[in-house]
Amino acid sequence: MKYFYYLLIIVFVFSCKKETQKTTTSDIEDKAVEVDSSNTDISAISTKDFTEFKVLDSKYINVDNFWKPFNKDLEKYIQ
Amino acid sequence: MKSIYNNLKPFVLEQDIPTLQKHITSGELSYEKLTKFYLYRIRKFDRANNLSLNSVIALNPNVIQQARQKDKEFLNKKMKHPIFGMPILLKDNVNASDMPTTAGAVALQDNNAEDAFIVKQLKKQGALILGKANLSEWAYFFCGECPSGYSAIGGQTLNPYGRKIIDTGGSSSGSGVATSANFCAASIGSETSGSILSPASQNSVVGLKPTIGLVSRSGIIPISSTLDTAGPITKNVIDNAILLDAIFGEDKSDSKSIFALWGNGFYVDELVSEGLKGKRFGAYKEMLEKEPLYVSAIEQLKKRGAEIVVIEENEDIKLPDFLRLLNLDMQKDLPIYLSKYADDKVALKSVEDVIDFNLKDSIHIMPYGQALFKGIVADKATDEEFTLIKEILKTNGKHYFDDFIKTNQLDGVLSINNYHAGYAAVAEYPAITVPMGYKENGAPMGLTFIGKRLSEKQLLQWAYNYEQATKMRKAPVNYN
Repeated sequence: MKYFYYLLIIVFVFSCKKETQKTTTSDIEDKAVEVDSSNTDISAISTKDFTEFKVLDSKYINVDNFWKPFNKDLEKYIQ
Repeated sequence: MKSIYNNLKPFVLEQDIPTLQKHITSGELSYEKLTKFYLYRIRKFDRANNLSLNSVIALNPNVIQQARQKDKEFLNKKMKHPIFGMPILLKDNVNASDMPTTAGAVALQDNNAEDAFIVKQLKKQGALILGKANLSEWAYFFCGECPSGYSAIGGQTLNPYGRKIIDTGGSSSGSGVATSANFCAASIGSETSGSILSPASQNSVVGLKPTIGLVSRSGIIPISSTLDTAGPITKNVIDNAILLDAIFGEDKSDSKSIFALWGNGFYVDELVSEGLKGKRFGAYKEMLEKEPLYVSAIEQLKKRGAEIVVIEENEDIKLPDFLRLLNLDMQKDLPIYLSKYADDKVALKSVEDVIDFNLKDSIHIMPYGQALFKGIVADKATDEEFTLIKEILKTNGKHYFDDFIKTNQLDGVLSINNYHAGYAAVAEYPAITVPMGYKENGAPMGLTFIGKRLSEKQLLQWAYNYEQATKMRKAPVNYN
């Protein structure tokens, strides 16, 4: 009986973990889009006061590679 | 002994283009030294440190060599335009050889395209292309709820007047930030509705959105062929006039291109020649009641002889189907860009293709989703319906300004930041924003002059006079 309870706990923990991963991915997916012809929010594509950032640094820029062509030329620019 | 960088600081930081050219003529500076100065600052401040702004997305690997060549040409008296030898950053939706043009999107990271028309114009006048500026991905017509200045390729652009606190504005976020932080002599942005005016005002620089068609769009990743335009973002009005003068011109491959004769161009002494005396401007009652910086700016204009007429927002004039115009234009315009101006290696042909590409790795490629792209493909209209949408919007936009202008015999209208950018966009009218001070939290604000079609010269004159009277811009303190 004791082993049965252990097994139950393990199954429960794994099922919770799987559920969490699912939520993360579905956050990214957008819901079905309806075209809103009455939308006149014309500032929507230029300004939004937004201070909660999901990502700050680029995952696609390698800073060392970025500067490789210039390293030699900038050597003397010590402050 | 002082470093080269510290020695050059007084000759470069916050200097306008005519002054930089003067230092080059006197031998205190060279194009090579100037280019290295900006590169050094970008390396020192822009990424991977506690002041990072993430404003530069790519650098031209050949720019130092090209700057040396400019020094030789200068000695041979080949300089004919003040933009000669000036290191310019381009918003990363403007094609330029030597670097990919991505719009900040992973889907376009291998898009090594030929120079856009305006880049050819810049190079013809001798400008140096320093690199590319970060932007709101796909010029902010991509994700629904997402911050200004974020792109997957470039990361999150941050405002030098308050990192993570003050919005950068967008979509030309990197152009506004990098210009303000003295990472370039000047930059190019692009606007569909507010994308130059917003980041310029949010970063205390000067941004001009030209009349549609004055500046070519060929080779620029589009949102809307009806509303899009490129334009200059600079630290001051003189530089703005110089940059506009270098890029404008008729382009036969752009259906909206205008052949405009501008006499001696935009930048010469004409900026100073016409003052504000007797000019009549409309100022919004609602803004006068709410915004002390706007009130002070209006007072300054009055002191310089301008006449102010208080006008009230015309709430009866709406912009119906504004978003649909962008949807329907981008459905057609992106495939045209991809087939005509993108690298052959780019296999994408349509908005649908980009959506599918992004689904392959949504967490990294689109952390804020792609709601607006989905809206684009969901939208449908007949040709007649689409033509009607465009006609109504343009009529309403023109009506919105022309009614005030005609009734009150105004020369122009005064706004704040990008507050009336949507109306100016559909009217296809030009606008310029100039620093007008800072809010209590340090956020910059801009006074925005809006004029009628092809009134760029007047806008620059008014903005110049206001700028010289007030000198409101202060460089961001942590980046000196």
